[in-house]
Amino acid sequence: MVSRLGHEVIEAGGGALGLEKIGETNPDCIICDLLMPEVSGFMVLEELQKKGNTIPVIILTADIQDSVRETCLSLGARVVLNKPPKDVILGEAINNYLNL
Amino acid sequence: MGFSDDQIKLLREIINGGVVRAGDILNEMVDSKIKLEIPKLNIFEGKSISNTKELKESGISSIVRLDFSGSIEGSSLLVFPYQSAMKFVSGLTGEDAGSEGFGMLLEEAVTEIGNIVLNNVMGSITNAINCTVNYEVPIFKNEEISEILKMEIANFKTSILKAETKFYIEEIQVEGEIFVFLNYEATNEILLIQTSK
Repeated sequence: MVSRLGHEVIEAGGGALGLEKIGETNPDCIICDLLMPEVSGFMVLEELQKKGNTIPVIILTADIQDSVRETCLSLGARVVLNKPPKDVILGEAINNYLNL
Repeated sequence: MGFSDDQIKLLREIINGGVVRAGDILNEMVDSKIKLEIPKLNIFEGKSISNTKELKESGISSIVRLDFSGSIEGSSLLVFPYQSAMKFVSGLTGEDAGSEGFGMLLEEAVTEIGNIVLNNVMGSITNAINCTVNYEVPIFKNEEISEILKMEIANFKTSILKAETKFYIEEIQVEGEIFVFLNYEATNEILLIQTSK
């Protein structure tokens, strides 16, 4: 979906790999799930926060809990979108938060 | 312990809200028009759990299970009789149920639907009682529901919320069920529902 919106995408199959790739590629924007085995999205956010991350993070999750949204925002996520996002909403979020 | 009629009515409204919202999300995902309804919510507690009719049912169901822990602990399940799951997925995707690879398609589609429905149901409940749960990755199984019920009862789940769910896709109607299994502490937390909302 993100490629369809005209962006180059680097995928990572899980939180640990995601953190590695963020370090290696320094992306303009991070899109992250919450529910992942071993290293969850919360752990990714915590790790990024510890490192003083400035890259905007968009959380994509099926979880609709208000408290989860608040936790993500407090850990540095710029926005929390529920799955599956509409193209236009995800596109707007990426464009709004992209570090260009 | 025990849910009053008003609490059951309120819980039904909350769960229905989650299910309707899940229906809206599913509508956006597929071309078919989908509508979800919860006409009936039953709550089984203590000894009445053994009266659950599904304990006596045989036959394979397609089941998505979303376990949760945190402020409240338990499991939530979306259950379709296997034939209904086939009819539902065939109606959604336009694929013939006898076609090659349909089993995998059914697993993926039912898991995705279950993940959305159960997240919206559980999220509606936890938002209503101001608590948070952490979810495990959803699991799909083709299994007898009676076996799961027996296991949950053996694992000291003291309450079962059972919501009969109707899924309408265009002219097709499929019935499934949502189960939420709760332990003693979780039941007590949900019993506070009227004072917190």
